[in-house]
Formats: sequence, C-alpha cells, structure tokens
Amino acid sequence: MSKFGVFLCRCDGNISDSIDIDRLDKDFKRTNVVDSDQHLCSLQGQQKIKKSIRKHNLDGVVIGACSPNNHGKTFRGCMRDAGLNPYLLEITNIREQCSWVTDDRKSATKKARDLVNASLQRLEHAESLSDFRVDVTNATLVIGGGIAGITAALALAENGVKTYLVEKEPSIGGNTVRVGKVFSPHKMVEECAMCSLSPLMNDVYENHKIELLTDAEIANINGTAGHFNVDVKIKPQSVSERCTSCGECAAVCPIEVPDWWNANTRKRKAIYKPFPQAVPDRYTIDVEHCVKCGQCTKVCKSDAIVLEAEPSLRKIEVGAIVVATGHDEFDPSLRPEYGYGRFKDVVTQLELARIIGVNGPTNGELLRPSDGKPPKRIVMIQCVGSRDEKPHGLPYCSSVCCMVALKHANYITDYFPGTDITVLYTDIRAPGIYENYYRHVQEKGVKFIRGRASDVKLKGGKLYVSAEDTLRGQCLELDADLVVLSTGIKPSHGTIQVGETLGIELSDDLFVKEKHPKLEGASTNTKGIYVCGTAQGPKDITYSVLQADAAALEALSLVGQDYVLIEPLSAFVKDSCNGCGMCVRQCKNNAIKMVDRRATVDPMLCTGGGACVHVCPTAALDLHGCTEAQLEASIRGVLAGKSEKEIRNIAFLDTKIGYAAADNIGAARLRYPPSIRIISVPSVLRLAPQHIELAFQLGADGVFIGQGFEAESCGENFESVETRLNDLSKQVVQRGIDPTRLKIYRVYIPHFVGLHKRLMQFDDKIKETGEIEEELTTP
Amino acid sequence: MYLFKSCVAGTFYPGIERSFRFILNSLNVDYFDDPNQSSCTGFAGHCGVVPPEANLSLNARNLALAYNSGYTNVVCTCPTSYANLKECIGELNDVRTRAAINDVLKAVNYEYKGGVTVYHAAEVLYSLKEILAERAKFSLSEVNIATHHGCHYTKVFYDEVTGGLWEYPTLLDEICAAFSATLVDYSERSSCCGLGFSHLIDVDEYTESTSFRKLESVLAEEPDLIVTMCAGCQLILDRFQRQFEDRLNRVVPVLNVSQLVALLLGADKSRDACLQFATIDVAPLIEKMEAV
Amino acid sequence: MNQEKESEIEALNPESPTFEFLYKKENLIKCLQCGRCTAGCPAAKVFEDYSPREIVRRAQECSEEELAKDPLIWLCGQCYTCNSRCPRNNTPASIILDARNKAFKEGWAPDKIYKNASLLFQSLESNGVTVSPELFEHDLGLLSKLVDHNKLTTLRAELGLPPLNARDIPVPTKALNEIRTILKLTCNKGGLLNDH
Repeated sequence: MSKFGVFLCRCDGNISDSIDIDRLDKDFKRTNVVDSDQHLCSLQGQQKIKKSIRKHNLDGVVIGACSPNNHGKTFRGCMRDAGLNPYLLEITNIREQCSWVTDDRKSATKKARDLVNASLQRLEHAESLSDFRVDVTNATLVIGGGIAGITAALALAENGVKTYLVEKEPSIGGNTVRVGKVFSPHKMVEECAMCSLSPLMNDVYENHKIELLTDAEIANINGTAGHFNVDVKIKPQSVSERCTSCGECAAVCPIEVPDWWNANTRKRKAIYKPFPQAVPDRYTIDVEHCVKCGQCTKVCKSDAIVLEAEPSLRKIEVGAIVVATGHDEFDPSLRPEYGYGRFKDVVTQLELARIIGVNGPTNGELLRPSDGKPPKRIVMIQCVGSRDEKPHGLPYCSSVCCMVALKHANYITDYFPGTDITVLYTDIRAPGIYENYYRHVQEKGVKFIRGRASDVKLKGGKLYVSAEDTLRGQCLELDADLVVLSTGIKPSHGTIQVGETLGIELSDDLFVKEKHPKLEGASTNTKGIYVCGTAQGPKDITYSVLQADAAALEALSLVGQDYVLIEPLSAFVKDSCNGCGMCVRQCKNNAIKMVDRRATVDPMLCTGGGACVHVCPTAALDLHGCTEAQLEASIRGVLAGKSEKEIRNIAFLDTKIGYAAADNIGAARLRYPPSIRIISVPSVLRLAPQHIELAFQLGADGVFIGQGFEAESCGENFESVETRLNDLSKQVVQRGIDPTRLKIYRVYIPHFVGLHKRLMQFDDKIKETGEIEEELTTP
Repeated sequence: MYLFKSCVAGTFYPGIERSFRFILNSLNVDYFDDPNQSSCTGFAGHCGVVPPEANLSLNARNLALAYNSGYTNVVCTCPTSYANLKECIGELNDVRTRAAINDVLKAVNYEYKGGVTVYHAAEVLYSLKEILAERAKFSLSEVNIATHHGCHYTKVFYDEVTGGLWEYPTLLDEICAAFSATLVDYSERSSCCGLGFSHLIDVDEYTESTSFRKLESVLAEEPDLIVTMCAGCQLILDRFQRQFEDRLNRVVPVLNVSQLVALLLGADKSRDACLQFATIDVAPLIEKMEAV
Repeated sequence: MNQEKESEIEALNPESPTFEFLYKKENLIKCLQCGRCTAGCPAAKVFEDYSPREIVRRAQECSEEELAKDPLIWLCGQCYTCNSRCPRNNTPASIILDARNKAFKEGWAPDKIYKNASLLFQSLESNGVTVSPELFEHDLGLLSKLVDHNKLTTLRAELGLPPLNARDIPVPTKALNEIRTILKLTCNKGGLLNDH
C-alpha cells in the first residue's frame, strides 16, 4: 500500500475563504499524510512539504493549490530536493478552477474534495521517470552568410565556439552588399553599407574559430539538440586559394552573363570576382555558364585555375544551428500592369540602389536605363507584391520598403537636386524613431500621395502612372521619367530549401517560423535550431543584427553545457508491438521509426501529444505523463461519488491553451457550476472514442472538448486537428452516444470569456435534457 | 464540346460562330450544336435586371443540357457567357443554393448535377494553334496585329487565364504569332472597350469616352488589324471607329479570332466569316494576307 | 398548365431555403481604401463623382437600401478591373450588381433602365436570347445608334438566317416553354429566393 501526502494551500484566503480546508484536512487524514499552509509556494511552505516527504517516507504527493501553470516547476523542485521522483507529483487546481469559480462554500468544498480524490486515484498510476541526457558538441553551424549570419557567426566565435559558416554564393555579404546605402535615422543621412559590412566580413575571414564554407549548401542533417550530424555539399572549387585577384582571367573570358551582385544592371564574365571586397578574396568560376574554353588558364600567372574541379562533400558535427538564409525580392514581372520588363525605365528599388551606387553600372550617376539621361521626375510605387492577396502576391507587409523609398528619395534630393520625387503609398510605415527620417524627407519636398498605383502606361514615349489621391478623391495620371517599384520581400529559395532539409517549421508565408512571436523570437520549433534575419520574416538590417545576436546567445547557452536534459513526456512502446507501422504513419513529427520490425520512439522528436497512442491495434503504445491508466484514473476520479440526481459534465482541455484559458476564467472570477469538471490532456488528439465512452459509462452527462485555437498537436495543424476531432465525434455517435451530449469547441486564450460562455451553455443544455438515460450509458 | 451560343455574336456578327464551326469541322472535332440552350442572360444581367435566381436557374438548365448530352466541355464564344457560367457553377457548388435551384428545375424536369467545365473558344484555338498553323493556307507574316482580350475573360476569373497573366494576357497574341503575325503593344491594351452594358442603353458618355480612348491608343500604333475574342468588344471597336472617323484619322478592321483563324484556313469570306457584317472593310487586309 | 402551377406552388413554398445573393460583408471589411480600383476604373475617368473605392466604403457603412438608391451605382461599366486589381480581393463590380438588382426589384432604378433593359429581358422571355435583331425595332438609346436595323435584317436574310432572331436555328418551342416556366418561377414577386 503506497503512502501518499496531501498538501493543501490556503493561499491567504484565496482558497480557504471558499473551501473549508480544515474539513478537507480531516477527511484526507484518514488514509494519507496531510498538511496545509497559508502559502505552500513560499520557502516555508516548500520546507514543510520536503520535511514531510522525508519524515513519512512518502511514495507520492498531491498538492491542492493554484494552477500547475503557476508553481508546477517549484513543486517538482521540492520533490527532487526531498529525494522523490518529480513525476510522482499531482497538482490539484483548487484555486483557478474551484475556489475562484464556485459560488457557495459547501459546493466548493465538495468539488475540491472530489478533485483531490481524483488526483490521488491518478497518483496510484504515476511512474518514476528520468530526464533524457544528450552530450553536447561544442560547435555551431550558421547557414547563410548575409549580415545576420555573419553577425551570429562572429558572436559565437568570439565566445570561443568553433563555428562553421556555410554560404551558397562564392562570397559572403548577401543582400547588404547590393543595397548600397543604409540610412541613419539620427543623422538623417545615408551611409555606405559596405563600410559597415566589409570589416565584419574581414573579421569572419580572420577569426580562426570560424571555418568559412562558400559555394556550399546543406545536403543532409540528422541528430538532435546538442548533437547534429550535417553533410555540406561544396560546388567545384575551380579557382584555388593561390588566386591573387589580378583579374587577367576575367579580361580574357568570352562569356558574359547578368551580374546578380549588381541586381542584373551590369554584366559579368563566367570567371569573375563577385565584388571588390569579396570574402574569400578571389575569383570564381560560374560553372553553369563556363564553356571551358581554357582562355583563363592560359593567362593565370599563379596557376590557380582548375577547370575540371569536382564537387565535394564535407561532414561536420555541431551542437546547435543558426538559420540565416535571408530573402529574395518579389519578381515585379508578376505584376505586368506596372510594365517591369516591358518598359526600360521601370526599375526596382534594388536596381535604383545599384544605379546610384558608386560601383554600379553608371558609377553612381543617376541616369535612367533607356537613354542614359538623368530623370527629372521620379515616381516611386510602394507595396509592389506586398499586402497583396492576388495570385503570387505576398499578403504581409514587407516592412522595409517604405524606409528604402525614403532612403533613396533623401539621397537623390541631396545628390541630384532638382529631381522631383513622388511616392505613391498605401500607408507609410516608419515606426519609432524612423518617423524623424520620414519628416525630414517630407521637409525636403518629396511628395507623398496616398494611393496605390493601378498601372503604368507608356504613351508617346513617356511613362504615366495612374493612381488615386485617396485623401482628395482625385484620379491622377502622373508622368514620370523613371518609375521605381518598391518590391516586397519574400522568403529566399534557400530559406524554403533549408527549412525542408532541416525539417523545421515554416510559417504560412514560408518564412522560418519562430517558436513564440514575443518570447522566443530567435528559436524555431525544433530544439537546438535557431533563426535570425529575413529568413524569419521581413525586417531591416538593424533588426536582423539584433536577432542574430539573440540567436547566437540561444545557441551559446545550449553548446556551453556539457549535456542537455530533456523532459521524458514522450510516447513509448511496449512489448506487444507487432511492427505494423500504423504509428509511424500517424506521427507527423517523424518521431517514430521502425527498428528491427519494432516501433521505436525518438523522445527528442516526440512532442508528447499522444495522437499515436490509440492508432496502435495491439495497444503497444502509451504516453509518459498521461498513460492510459492515468487518463482513465482521472476520468474515474472526477466522476466518483456522483449522487443519483447530480449532473456532471467533463471538459477535456488541452494543457497549453484550453486549460490556460480555463485558468483565466478563474482569474477573472467568472462563475460556473461545480457540475463542470476539467481534465487536462497534453493534446485533444490523445482522446479516443473509448475515453468518451468510458466517461459516459461512469455517469458523465456530457463531454466538452476544448482545443486551443491554432495550437499545434503532434505536428498536425489546426485544420487537421479539427478534422480528427470531427471523426472522433462521428465515431462516438456511432457507438450510440447522443450527439447533443458532446460538444467540441475552439479555445482562444484571449477570449476565455467565450470558453466560459460555451461551458455554461453546454451545462445548461445538459441540465435541461436531464441526467443521461440509462440505455445510453450501457455499452 | 458543347457549343454555347452568344446572343450578341448571333445578332451582329454571325460569322464568329460560323467560323468556329468551320474550324472544328475542318479538324473533324466532334461538337454538339444544341438549339435548346437559352442565352446566359449576362448582357441583361450586368444591367441589374435579371434576378440572380433566374440567372442561376436558366444556366443550371443550360449546364444540365450539356451534362445530359454527354458533351461536358462547354465552349463559349462570348467572354460574358464564359464568366457568367463559371460564376454560376461556383454558386451552384453551394449545397443549399443547388438544392433551391434544383427545386426550380424540377418544374421543367431537369436536375443540375455539376460535372461540366467551361472554356472560351479562343482557349480551344490556343490549344490547337500549332495544328491550325500547319493547315493554314495563308500567313500573317505581313500583318501587324493589336489584340484585345475582353475584360470578362481576363478580369473576372483572373487566375484562370490561359496564356500570360491576367494583366497582360497573351492568349490571342500567341495564336496570331503561330501564324507568323507581328504583334503591336498599345497603352490601353488592358482597358475596357467601352461597352459598359447598361451604358449602352442608359448613359452615353461612358461608352463614347472609353471606346474613344481605347481606339485612339490602339490606332496610334498603326496596326493592320485588331483581333478580339468577344462579339461585344468587336461591336464597339468596329462600329465606333465610324462614329469617331473624323477624330481618329484612320480606321482598322476588327476581327474575332475565330473569324481570323477560319479565314487563314480558307473559309468563305461571306458564307463562313460573314465579313459583310463588319463596319470597317476587312477586304484590303484579306488581300494582304492572301498575297503572301 | 396545371402541372406547371403545382410546381410553382412547390417552388414558392416558404419551407424552401432562402438565400441572400449578396456580396460578402466579411470581405469588405478588409478594404484598405488604397484607391487601386478607382485609379484603374474607366468609369471613374468619365464621371468625376464616381469611385469604386467610395462604393466599397458606402457598402461598409450604409444599408443595402441606401446603396441601392444611390444613383452612382448606375455609372459602373461592369468591366471588373476593380476585381482584378484589388489587393484584398474585394469586387466592387459585384457589390454594384447586387445593389442594381435590388434597385431594379424595388423600383429605384433609372427610368431608362426600366424601359430599355426590360426590353432585353422580354427578348429573353420571348426568344430565349437576351439580344436579338428584333430588339432594334425599338429605340434602345446608344445601342440603336450603332445598328442599322434595315441593313442588319437584309444582310441576315441574304445569308438565309432568320432576320429577327439571333440564332441560326431559333430555340425550339418546348425549350422556350421551359425557359418561360423558369422565368415565371424565379422572377415573380421580384424573385423567388429574395423573399419580399
């Protein structure tokens, strides 16, 4: 016979005003060790628990206090300190879900007693669990050598961590190389982007803790947080380190192709150096276009060119990964109404950046592409591809294009005075201090018209932009010598590809999805993989760099440890497994694999939702922390002691959102009758028809299932969770349960009032219908 | 295919559908020319005088006729029919709408069951353009062509446009190019022809001003021919050139793509292409074509 | 005839579901008022007061009745440029069409619309086609200016076409009766499904 301790918290009246703790104390003393305190969470309260565990040599503990979301960690710590396995603890929520929501003291006390009893029943089935331990490899991988990747790699290396920086282009630098100028909202001037970037690039090259792999892409990855094995595919290295950058090879190369580094405003050769400050500082061969004529090899004095070079594979081991794969520009030819590609003098902001860049196609002179004349009137069109729900469009705001337009407008009015600039905008987005810069540009006479351009037409050799001045309600046809399209930011091809290879979650827009948009903005949903820069979403250099430092810090705190411990709340396989593989197909996290014709769960990949448990035909799967036995005990527990005319409704809520929303109902002191009994499940996918059926058999009058809105469960998105819930309800109805007694509801934390309303409505309806009829409850 | 006849084409330019039949016949393409089909009501519908349920019920009947005939690819010569039928199919996909409309159809012993796809005749020509070009008796190599695609083809179901993107469709251009034509761009390429439905019978300014802007822009590029895929657009572009003759300085013939392709295949100018219905004389252009 | 009457009663049964074939308000709420529709609108170029952007705003703010009574809804040319350009996938042209339908039903449409568009509608009822050469026996405003009725009928007769019908082969009587039955069921009392 196990010996359990029951510890009840009075919470300074928050609990004891509504619940007769002394009475409960007396009730439970008959079979358990019982104690109570004004504040169990205080150091004194914790001490009381620890002492009692040791003194009575307890086998398990029930704590009746506030929600486990508040002090669950604290109390598990007590267990550990007192030498008891922390998973032998059950916390009964008698505050948020009892004392705060129940009207009269008698009912509240009865409900609290029932809930504690349920916990005691569940505790009978608790199992000791130990955390998983993974030895950490003290090295990191940064994917993408733009300003975010460079920043992250330097931060890691400067903290002494061996860092691999993988870049698919022949030089690091990324889009920052192409933007030319960056703006300063303090000084109201534009500074040279390369002047900030180039020293960082050189630091990367010189830092012996960084190993730079250019012309390289991620081919394969496996492993988990703390230890990843990564295969890096390296393109043929046709120009060796012996290259002195003399440039004689490019002079004789007969092949010309558009130069990406100059936004295709110039041509380069098939053997070329991306840009003067390139790192590594050497020439490279574009193998796609090279015809291997051999001219370059003849003129190379340092014998650096190998035309027949082969691609290679590099295997590396790291503890953490930072994804910094950046963005691409929206292709404006997908919006043909703006004439890009048809009219030479319609260019993108990036092309304008190259035109006014000193190393660009016009050596910094503002000249338009068609006839090389300086444009007198420039019209800039904002939101090209952004905030656009038409096919191929980007529904989101690209967040930097307004500032890019302001930057170029300011620069042009400074260096090419007399140029007339009009910006056609939907909303100018210049947050925070950037507003100063916006005002400054307004003061300089740049015109701002609120209206999204409809089209660009070429009439009599002149460009006309049609837009409505929406503030005046006037249609305009603006003539322009040069039209500049502020094209949006979309996830780069590399971002989508790396997302797939690494198996990390992407957002609807195919950027890498951050773990939490406010609190964990540099983590991904995969442990040990972090993200920064425009790979995670549109943002400017300032925020890319900040996020890169945040991602590096996260990676550092992981690889700085000897080992990592991982909560063992994952699925596990029992001996009865017959190797059918049903669970493998169910698991969207790819956490289950077949090893020797037997399912094996990788606890690092398992997210512990439990959707797999009931697909197993031999009942060989179960879930630590919420086993079949534990779940059944909870159902039995909350229904135990039901009197004849009493109504009881079970609400199954997912721990993360549904249960938290129920806590909010309590915190707001909204009331609901004690007939509603909440059971927390890791995910509603853990529920099978037999659980619902069991509840009805044991006397439940109604079952309410609340799934967190947009919550991920077992790697399935909200829509597929909904589909599965609908299936569940169909199956339950097929088993003879009256469908009006089952309610499925989407829970949304901020709208806990909605959950409250639905719970009340459901309870009212069940009470109207009366206690469940006998024939329905018999199997 | 189920040939869905257009009232505007039938009234003003009977050559459009006669040409299309000529092309199908000369390629031995099987089609069903059903006299039982009603108008799609689109012309009156866009004026706002046809209750939506009448529009849906009549077209549910039309689509059921096609379904029952076994010719489930409905091919329209009119972009307004094309868009209207597609829109009806969308509405009828709603279970409650379909049930209500089928309640109406019960009275005439029809049931709409779906299973029908709608195309425009130009899409058919587009898919056959290489074969058609091989069989051409004449060439467009000396002809400069400006195209007008018709708003109800490109702008209603914009994401289902064949050939190019909806803002710069190349469906007609690619068909003409298959016969070696030179295509000319013009600034009002994607603008409305000016038809304007209710404007034709209510307010004159819209049609006059819009069609003038369109014609002025296209004539400035001096094409030899304007090719359309809509009888309504053809009516406006053809007949308004005469109205504006003094302001435009020159005139250019207008042909439907079906007429043009049929002529290239050797169709009869009068009996098949019915060129006598054109306001701007097409004969000089035909001579130019035949000379090559 | 008796059978037809019975079906009519059945179709007008109050038990049959009623729908609103109206634009979806939830889409309208997303309007950015960016003016892309108006800037591309051919009608807005002709009529200074007319702006699809304003129509969307009015549709958001005012009642269906107010919108249907607004004379501006008759200025749209139904070219759907607004539909193809709206970054938030609104369709001002459809909003207008719904408002026109309501206006026509309630008696708020312009007189010329009642006179001329009703002729189109009658043509549909009598021939099964909306536009036909027969129509040009009447004065249809601008449309009639484009058509020389005598010349049209002569050319058609020369080709062996029915001079007054749009079809090579007119719609057969049985089919015409079906079309008329459908129109009777759906157009009485201003429409079957929009219950008034």
